[in-house]
Amino acid sequence: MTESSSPKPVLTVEGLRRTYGESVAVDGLSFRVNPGEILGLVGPNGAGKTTTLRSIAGILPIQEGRITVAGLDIDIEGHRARQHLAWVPDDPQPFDSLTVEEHLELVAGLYGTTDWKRRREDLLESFSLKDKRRALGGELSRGMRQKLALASAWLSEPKLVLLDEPLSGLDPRGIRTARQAIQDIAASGVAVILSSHLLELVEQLASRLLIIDYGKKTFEGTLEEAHTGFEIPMGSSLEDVFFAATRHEAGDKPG
Amino acid sequence: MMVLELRGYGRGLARRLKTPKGALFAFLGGSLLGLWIFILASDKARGGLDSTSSFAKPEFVLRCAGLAMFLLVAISAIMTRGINIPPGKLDRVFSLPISRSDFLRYRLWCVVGRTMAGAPLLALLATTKTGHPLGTLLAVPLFLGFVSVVGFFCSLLAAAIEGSRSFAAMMQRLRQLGKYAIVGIAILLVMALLSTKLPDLLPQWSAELQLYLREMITAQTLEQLVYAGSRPLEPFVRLALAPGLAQSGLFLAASLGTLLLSVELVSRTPVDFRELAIEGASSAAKRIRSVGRVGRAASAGKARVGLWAVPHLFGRGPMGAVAWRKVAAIWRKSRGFLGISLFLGCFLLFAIRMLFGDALLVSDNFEASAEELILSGNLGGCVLSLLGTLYLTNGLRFDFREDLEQLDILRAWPVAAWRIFVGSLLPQVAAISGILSVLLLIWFGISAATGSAICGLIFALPQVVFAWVAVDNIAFLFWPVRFIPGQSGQLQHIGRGLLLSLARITFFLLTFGASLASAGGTWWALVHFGDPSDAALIGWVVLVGYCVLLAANAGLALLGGFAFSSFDPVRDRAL
Repeated sequence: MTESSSPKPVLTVEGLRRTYGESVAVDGLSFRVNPGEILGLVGPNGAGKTTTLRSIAGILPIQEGRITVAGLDIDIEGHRARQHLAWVPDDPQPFDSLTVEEHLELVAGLYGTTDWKRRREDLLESFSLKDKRRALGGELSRGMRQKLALASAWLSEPKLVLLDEPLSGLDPRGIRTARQAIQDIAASGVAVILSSHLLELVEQLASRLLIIDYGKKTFEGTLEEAHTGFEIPMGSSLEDVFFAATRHEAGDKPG
Repeated sequence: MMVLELRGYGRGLARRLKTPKGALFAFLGGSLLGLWIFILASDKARGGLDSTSSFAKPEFVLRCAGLAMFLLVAISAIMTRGINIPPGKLDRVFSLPISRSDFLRYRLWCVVGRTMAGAPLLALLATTKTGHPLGTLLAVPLFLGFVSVVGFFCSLLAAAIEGSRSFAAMMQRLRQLGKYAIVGIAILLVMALLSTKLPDLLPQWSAELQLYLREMITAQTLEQLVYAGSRPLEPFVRLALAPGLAQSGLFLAASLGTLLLSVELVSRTPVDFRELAIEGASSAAKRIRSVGRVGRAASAGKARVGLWAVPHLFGRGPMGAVAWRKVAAIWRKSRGFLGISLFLGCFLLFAIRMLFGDALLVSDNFEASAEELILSGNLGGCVLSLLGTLYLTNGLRFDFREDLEQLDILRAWPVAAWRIFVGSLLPQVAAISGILSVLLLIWFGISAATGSAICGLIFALPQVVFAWVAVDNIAFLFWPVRFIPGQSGQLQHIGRGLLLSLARITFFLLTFGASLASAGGTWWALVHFGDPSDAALIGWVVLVGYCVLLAANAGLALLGGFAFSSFDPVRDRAL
C-alpha cells in the first residue's frame, strides 16, 4: 500500500505530551494517518506506544497537545470523534455477562450500526466465532477474546482502527485470518494504526512506520526511507531499522 | 512458612504506616474501632442483656448465634470446595518435600490462627450478652477456631465427592427444588400477611395459616430446635457461660481438646486435594479480584445464560445499549440475590406482623388513635424504604466498580459521558426500586399506612435510589481505590471508608435536604400568601419537592459524567 492521494488525514496528532507523575511517557509527539493507510507503531517496552493509542482513543485525558479524528477534536467533541474510531486493546476484557453475539449487538447499539444482524453473522463466520456465539465473555480464551475484539471493531464501521498487539494469543489460523482482515479493512479506506512487537508482521502490513523511543518520535516514513535515513543497506529488515532507531537496550526504562 | 508469612505481614504494616496518608487512615480506622470497643464496654458496664423472655436468655442467644455461624461456615465451605491456595503460592507449596498431612496441618493452623486473631472483637461483643467476661473471652476464639476447622473439613469432603456425577446431578436438582421452595414460601407468607387487611380477596386458609404460624413461633418448638441443634457446641457454650475461673477450667479443657482433636482428625483425612486446589485456585483468584472491585456484592458472582434473550428495557439507542448491558449483568448474576432479597423482605415483614399482631391496623387497635397508627404506618414505610435502599445498594452493586477492568473500553465508546453514567446506573436503580415497591405494597397491606403515602414513596423511590447510587459512584470515580477483603491494610481501609461514608452522607443529605427545603418553602409561601385547598397545597408541595429532587439528580448525572470522563485509569490501584 502506498500514500493515499486524498490529502485529508483521518487522524492528526500535534504535540502530544503525557506524564505519569515525574515520568514522561510521551513527549511532543506529532504525526498524521491518511485513509486506507496502515501505520506501524513500533518502539521498545515503555516507549509510550500504548499511552499514545489510549490518548487517541480518548481513554486518557489529554494533558498537552491536540488530537483530531475525522476532523473532530477528541478533547472537545469526544464522543462524536469516538464514533469514527475503534480501539482494540492488547488484552481485551469482554463483559462476563454478555455472550459473544450479544457483544456484537451491544456494539451495534452503541454505534448505531445499520444492518447489523447480517454483518454480525458475516463477522462471526470470518473470525471463526460461530461455535462460540452463545459463550459468555468470561468463558473465552485469550485468542477468542482477541477475535471478538477485532469483530466488534469491524462491526462499528470506523474510519480509524487502533490495534494494540492485535495478534497476541491467536493461533496460526487466527493470525492468518486477522492479518487478512487488517489488510481488507485498510483496502476499504479505513486508516489503521498497528502497534506490535512482532516486527515481521508490521513489516508485512504497514505502509508507513512510526518509531518512538522514550516518548519521542525517532522516525516516521516508509521502510525504504528508513534505510536511507539510518544508513542501513537497502533490503535490510525492520528489525535492523528498529535497532538503529532505538539505540539502547529494550525494556530498560519503565513507563 | 508461617513465621515468614507473619514477618511479611509485619513489614507491610510498618511500610503503610510510614506514609502520611497511611498513618492518617490508620488513625481514623483505629479511632473508629476504639470507639466501637468503648461503646461495647459501656454497654457491658450497664449490665448487658437481662430479659426474662426465653428468646432473650443469654444461653439461647449464644446457641442461636453459634448455630447460625456453624451452618453458614459449613454451607459456604461446601460451595467453595477444596483448599484455597493463591495461584502464585500453589507451585511453591506443592513442590515442597512435606507430607500431605503436614501440609494440611500447616493450612489448618493458618486458618485457625487467622480466625482466632480476629476473634477478640467478637468476643467482646459476646460478653455484653453473657455477662461472664472471662469464660466468653476464652470461648469465642476457641469456638471460631473450631468452626473454621469444620468449614475446612466440609470443603475437603465436598472436594472428595465432587467427582461423582450422580452427586452433582442430585445437587443440581436440590438447588432447583430450593428455588421453587423459596418462591412458594414467599407467596404463602405474603398471603398470610395480607389476610387481615384483605380478607375478601384472599382464601380463608391464608388467615388460618397466619394464626398457625403465630402459634408455632410463640410455642417452645423453635427453642427446642435450637437447643437440640447446638448440642455439638456444648463445651464452648458452657465455657462462655461459666461465671469464674474455677468453673470454667473443665470446659476450657474440653473446648481446647475438641479444637486440637478436630485439627488432628482433619489433617489425617485421606483426601487428595491437589488437583482440585489447582483448578480452584484460578477461579478463586478471579472471584477475589471481582470482590475487590464490587465488595461481597451479588455482582461478584458468576453469570449464567438463561433461555430468554435479555430485553431492551431502556430502548435501543446508545444509552439504552449501555443500560441493556447492565440489565444482562443483573439478570444473569443476581436473579438469586433478587429472589432472596424479596424473600427476606417478606420474612421481615412477616416477623413484624407476628411481633405486633393486629396492633398495626386501625380497625383492631382501640388503644391508639387512628392518627397515631397512620403516622406510625407511614413512618414505617419511610424506614423500610431507607433501610431497603441501604441494604440493596450494597448487595446489588452493578455500577462502575464492576467495570474497572473494562473502563478503557467504556471510555472509548462514542456516547456522552453523562449518558454512560446514567445508563450504567439505571438498571440497578430500577431493580432496587421494584423490589422496594413490592415490599411497600405488602407493608400497606399489613399496616395502617395510607395509600397516598405509599404511592408517594413508590413514586419518589427511583429518584432517591438514583441519588444515593450516583453519589456513591461519583465518590468512587474521583477516588478509585480497591480493597480486597483479607488483604493487608484493613485499618487504613476502615479509616478511608469512614471518611468517604461521611462525605457521601453529607452530599446525599444536601441533595435531599434541598428538595425538602424547597417543599417546605412552597408550603410556607402558599399558607402565608394564598388560601389554597388542602389538596392543592399537598399537590404543590409534592410537585416542587419532586422537581427539585429531579433537578438535583440531573446535576448529579452531569457531575457523574464529568467524574467518568476525567477518571484517570492510571489512578486505579489496590490500597
